[in-house]
Amino acid sequence: MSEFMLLIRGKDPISTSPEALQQRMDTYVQWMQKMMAEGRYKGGQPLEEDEGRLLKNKEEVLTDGPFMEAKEIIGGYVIIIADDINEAAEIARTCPLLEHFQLEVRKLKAMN
Amino acid sequence: MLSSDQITDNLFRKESGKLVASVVRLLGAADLDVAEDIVQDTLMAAVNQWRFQLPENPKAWLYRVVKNKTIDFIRQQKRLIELSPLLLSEWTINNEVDRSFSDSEIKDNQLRMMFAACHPDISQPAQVSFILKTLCGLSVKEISRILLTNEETITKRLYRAREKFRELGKEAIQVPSGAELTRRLQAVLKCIYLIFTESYFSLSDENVIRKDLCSDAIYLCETLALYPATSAPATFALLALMCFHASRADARINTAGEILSFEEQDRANWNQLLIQKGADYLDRSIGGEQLSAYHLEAMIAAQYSLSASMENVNWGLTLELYDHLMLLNGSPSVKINRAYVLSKVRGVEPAIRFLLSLENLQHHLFYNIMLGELYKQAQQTTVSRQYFIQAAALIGPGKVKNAIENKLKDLSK
Repeated sequence: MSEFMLLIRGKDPISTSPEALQQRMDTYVQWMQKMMAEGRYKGGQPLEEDEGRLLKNKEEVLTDGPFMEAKEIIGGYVIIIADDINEAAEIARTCPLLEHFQLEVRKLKAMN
Repeated sequence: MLSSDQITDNLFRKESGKLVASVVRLLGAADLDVAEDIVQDTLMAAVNQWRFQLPENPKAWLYRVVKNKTIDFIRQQKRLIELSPLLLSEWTINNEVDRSFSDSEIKDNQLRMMFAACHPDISQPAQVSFILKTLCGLSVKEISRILLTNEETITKRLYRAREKFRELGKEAIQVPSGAELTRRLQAVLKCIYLIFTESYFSLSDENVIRKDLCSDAIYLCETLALYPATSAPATFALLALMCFHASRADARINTAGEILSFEEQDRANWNQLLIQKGADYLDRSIGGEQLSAYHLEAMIAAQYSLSASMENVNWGLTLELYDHLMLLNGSPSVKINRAYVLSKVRGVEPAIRFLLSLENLQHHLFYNIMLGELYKQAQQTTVSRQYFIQAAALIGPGKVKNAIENKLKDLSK
């Protein structure tokens, strides 16, 4: 068993009603609870989107964010437990976030 | 950690209406778009953050963020829009904003929005669409489904309502007084009535009863009842009739997901608390000189809800009430329901004759269903079957169609 990070990519431009947003949250919470029940959920956090800094080297600091195309902006991450990258990808496929964002799945390197 | 019970059902939908109303109170109805954007941005932020960590008090979080965004907007725009002097000063802006969002003010704000929506220059369908969107937090798609029309029509209606607000400027959220208040109140009650009946007797299949919208309608009407100026006898009558209907919401669908007619329902599943509320409101509604259509409907509903059983219903009195109601409200459903009661008082034949005397109802779903029922009682199976087949053809797949098809099966037995 290893840890995998699901990087949440993209900006959600869709404006929806409070009712639909509520449903979105409920669906996600259900998924998360399932992950927790299976012992797969390690945590997650959103990232601030308004500003950031990009350091290309010691001298150059770009202060105007976001730095990439909208679809590449990372909005946050979730960490799950899976046997291998294929299983992690299959789990990511079930994540409701996929309806509005792209998910990049990467394995966390084990430190020894 | 996040658990779905911690976020109340429909928190977003419930609070968004209150939040928009409170921002509009501060900025004016002409800036409705701004108010909606502020609330929308806040909800989106909530969805994105709460996935990871639920705040201790989700509702307070929403209010705090909306208030801050409102204050930011006011600070940036103060030279460009007309605002109360209290909002222009840094000394008082926080208090003023807090006040608008306080529990006591919120109901007032919602009332103002309802009255603003029911301006006489805004068409009735537009009024209902506007309330469903702004006070009930539904999307255009959801509204179009409930009102059985298309999204483009709803969008147009909403657009016209907003244009009107822009035109009216500050005046839009002034609560009228005197005769204008009385007129406007009628329009508000009508909207609430429509929202309730569309949700309760919904023909769209999602949920045959949208209980949450029924509660919204009752809540908005209860808000009206809190203020002397708007707690007219008709307000209480409308509350009574909604409570009586709502009391049967749980009994209307059986465990197999099928719709049960009034006679088929298990009375044990009727919500006695709501029936009691209905009776109390009915008492409070009597006293004016006016006997509105709502009074009559409430009294009819009371006949059903308060009688010990079907056999105990005072059909004679109910028929009289329907006859009176028909004078005030000549809609097809009133007439069709009256036919049913007529069949109990004078028999099936007169009821059938009455229905056949009505014009232009061949494509009315309920008309066909009722004729099917009455002919079945008259033991004219072939004719009954014909009407049920016609009814089934008038509606798409779903619970209502299934119920009709079950009736056809029963006929064949």
